[in-house]
Amino acid sequence: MATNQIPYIDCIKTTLEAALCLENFPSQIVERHNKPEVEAGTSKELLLNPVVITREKYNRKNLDGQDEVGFERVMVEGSINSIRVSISFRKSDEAEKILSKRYMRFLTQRAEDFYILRRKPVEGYDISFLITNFHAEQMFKDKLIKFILDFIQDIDKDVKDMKIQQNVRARLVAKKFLGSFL
Amino acid sequence: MSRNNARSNPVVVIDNGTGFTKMGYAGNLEPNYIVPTTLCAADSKSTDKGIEDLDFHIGFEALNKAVGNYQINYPMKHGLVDNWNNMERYWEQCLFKYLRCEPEDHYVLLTEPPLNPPENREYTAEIMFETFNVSGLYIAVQAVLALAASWNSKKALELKLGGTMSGTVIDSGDGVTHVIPVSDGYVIGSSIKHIPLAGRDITQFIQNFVREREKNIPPEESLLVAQRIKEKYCYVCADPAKEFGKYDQDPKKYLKSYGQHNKRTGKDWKVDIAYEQFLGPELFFNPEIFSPDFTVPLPDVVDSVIQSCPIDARRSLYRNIVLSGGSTMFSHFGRRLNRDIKSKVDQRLDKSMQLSKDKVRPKEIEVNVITHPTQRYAVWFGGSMLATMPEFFKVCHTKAEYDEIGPSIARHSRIFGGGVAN
Amino acid sequence: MIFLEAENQIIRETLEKRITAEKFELCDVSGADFDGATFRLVTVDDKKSELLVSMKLNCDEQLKKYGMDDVVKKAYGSWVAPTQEGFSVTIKVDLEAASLDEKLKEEYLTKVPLIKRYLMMSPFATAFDKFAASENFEPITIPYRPEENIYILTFEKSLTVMFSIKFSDPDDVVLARIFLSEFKDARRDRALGNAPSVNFTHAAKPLELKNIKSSEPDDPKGLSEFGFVSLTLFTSHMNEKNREGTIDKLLTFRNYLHYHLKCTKAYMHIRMRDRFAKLLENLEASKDNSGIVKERKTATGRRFVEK
Repeated sequence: MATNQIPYIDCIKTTLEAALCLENFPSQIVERHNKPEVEAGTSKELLLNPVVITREKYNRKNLDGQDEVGFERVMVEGSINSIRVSISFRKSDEAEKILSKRYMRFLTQRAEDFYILRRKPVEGYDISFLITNFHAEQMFKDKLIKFILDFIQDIDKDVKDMKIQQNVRARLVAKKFLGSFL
Repeated sequence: MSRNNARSNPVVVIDNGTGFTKMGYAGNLEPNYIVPTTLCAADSKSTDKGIEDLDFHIGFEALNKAVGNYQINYPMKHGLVDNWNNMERYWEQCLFKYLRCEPEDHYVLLTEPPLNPPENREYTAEIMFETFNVSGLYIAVQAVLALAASWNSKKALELKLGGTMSGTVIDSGDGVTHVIPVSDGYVIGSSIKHIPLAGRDITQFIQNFVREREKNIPPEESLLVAQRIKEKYCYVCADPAKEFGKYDQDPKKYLKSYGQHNKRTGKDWKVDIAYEQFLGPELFFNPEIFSPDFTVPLPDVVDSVIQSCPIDARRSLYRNIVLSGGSTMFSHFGRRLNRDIKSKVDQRLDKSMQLSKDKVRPKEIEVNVITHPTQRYAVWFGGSMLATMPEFFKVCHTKAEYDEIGPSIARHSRIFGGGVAN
Repeated sequence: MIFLEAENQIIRETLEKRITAEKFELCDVSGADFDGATFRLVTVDDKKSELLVSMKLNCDEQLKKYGMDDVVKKAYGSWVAPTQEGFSVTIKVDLEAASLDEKLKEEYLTKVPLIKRYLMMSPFATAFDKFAASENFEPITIPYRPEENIYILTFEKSLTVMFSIKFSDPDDVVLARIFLSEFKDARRDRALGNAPSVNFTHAAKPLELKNIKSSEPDDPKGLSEFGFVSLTLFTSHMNEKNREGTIDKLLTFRNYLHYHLKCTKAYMHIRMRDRFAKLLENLEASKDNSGIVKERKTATGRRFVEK
């Protein structure tokens, strides 16, 4: 874990610890229904203020040479029986952008197996988790938080690794191809 | 746009089976390649790191190169994809090395086994559209393609069965045999039955038989020899008991011999082939001679499958029993099956007449087993035919749809309606 | 597999099967090759011992101008047959003679599957010869694909072969840039000093094409799908010994590039699947199973197993 990431991760950790206090809460609107309130969003008193933890704002040049602004941030929206964690990864160039896009599409495709994952990310973010009180009851709270933090760091590392791998591959292929002309 | 010119290029048809993959371009009578569904990849890090995933072989090459640090892998088990990484790489070489096509310029037809979970279709669509950028994809049910392949056979044309989408498909390949009832193009999933007897078991049976009797076959080749004996000499007899008698009476006429040159010792060796000529395929009709686990003969299974289908579909299922797959190629297989099923059906009808004391005379049920010359790769041939029809492009899922909606388009087939509002 | 092969596997295997078959049967096999080429192997005579192998390329009109027919005649000699309708060239294979003569069979099997190379070789051969003789020539355009071309031109005393490549998937463009920038930088390695030098531009027509009428769009939006790769060749690549190898690699270059892009994407998938499996494992590990009692017993002793 990079040392300059530690405050970011710590901040997310404390936020999640505070937000992950969930209890069962049957729906107030429809009889005998139990909805995650953060998704339904109907009653204001059941929702907490969303917290956005931004690591940094960065500039990126896209393919046309224009400047784009990107954010590396996490948004935590809480409610009485569920929380929604949305993550936006660092995409410092075009390659990282398409790599993380493909990666997130791949994971959300398998969201059914991955039960805390949300199939569509929240607007403005790359990927979202939806954790309900039922999930929180089944799992250890600290392990769940550790899972999310590891997720953020692993995906970051993976995207960077994949980018480097592209370069390594390209170099090997180029060497073999051009070498064959001799 | 290369999308539009993809329609003028021939469609790529790939039928992945557990044992063999049949692939080629649509419009051909037989597949351009029939290769084993095996992949052989370098296990150790001896290749350049970074491109080690490109160091692999598929098909017959894989079997030949399986030495040293190359491990053989079978990406498909029981008709379903087991290892998606290997399947993706397998398709990579199929498309670029063997078929030599740029997937962006072509539409692709793939096949799926019955009872394929919809997630598998989504994963297939994901690989085809995201990695290979194919212009369009259609995933067809193997049983329906096998039905379509039988339309042009002589018997089907006689009985005017061309174009029918109802029938029972008996698909017997290398790993497992399926009996699949299809009614109006829909597979009746709850009535499908699997028989764990297929080509591999018959080969093993013959191998055991021959090994017991003949000692001079080189052991590493005994499986291969058994396979060749099975393909060249085996046939289905009308009555095994009588056949034994025929062999004992006139051995010279029936005893065949198979010989080969042993490369290692430099000597020629020969084996005599006697009873296994008809006992091998007899496994289908009397499974207890091979294994005590499974004892229901094939005609009985077919009959019980059709009986478990809705009553209004049964006549059309009996009328059109189609064979497909390599293990149905034994001579007289169709005739024996036809006879056995018909006798079961007639028995039942007679019984009902008896019980009603002859007051109810049921209409006779027509039983036809359709055989045709393209049985070995009937599924591929059906796909090739389907892909040359102009309506094919309308029912395919296109790349544009995939980009717009996502892999869930592969869950539903446009022929049968349902799914996306398109 | 890193390199794409030059010969057509289907043609080769069909020929081999037919030559070594026990008896001659009717044959009608058709298929496609890279770049929209289609081919057909068919028996026409009654004896079925003559196989006609035909191939069609979309750009055969232009290729004829550079002497395609001559090159084909030189390569195949007496095997050339009157061209079948709808095709660019037809080669006649005498199955009967080949089944008796091992040497003839080998010749058929080595030369006939390379039919696409011989068809497309003429512009390159002409250009190489003229360059070797220090003659100037008009830039050659080969529209080998519906929207993409190969250009052969001399630019500042060197022979450049330029490809315009269309990327229909915008993600591909990003991956291709990484790839081709490595190709460009590969020459820094001293061992590859004699290799062709590669240059790549995206969404902008290179200077060399300024005066040539080309089919690529001129507007920036349309051009954003196109990349231009140029390989500058040296005389060592064009001499008799290396000529055919160089041409083979040039002809399959575009497909080679796309092949590697797709393999890269497949490789990414492999990594993603591994990561997904690990994540799922972690998730399962963080489950609290202590509250779940696997097996319960009632007072009378009957057991329940909770799933």
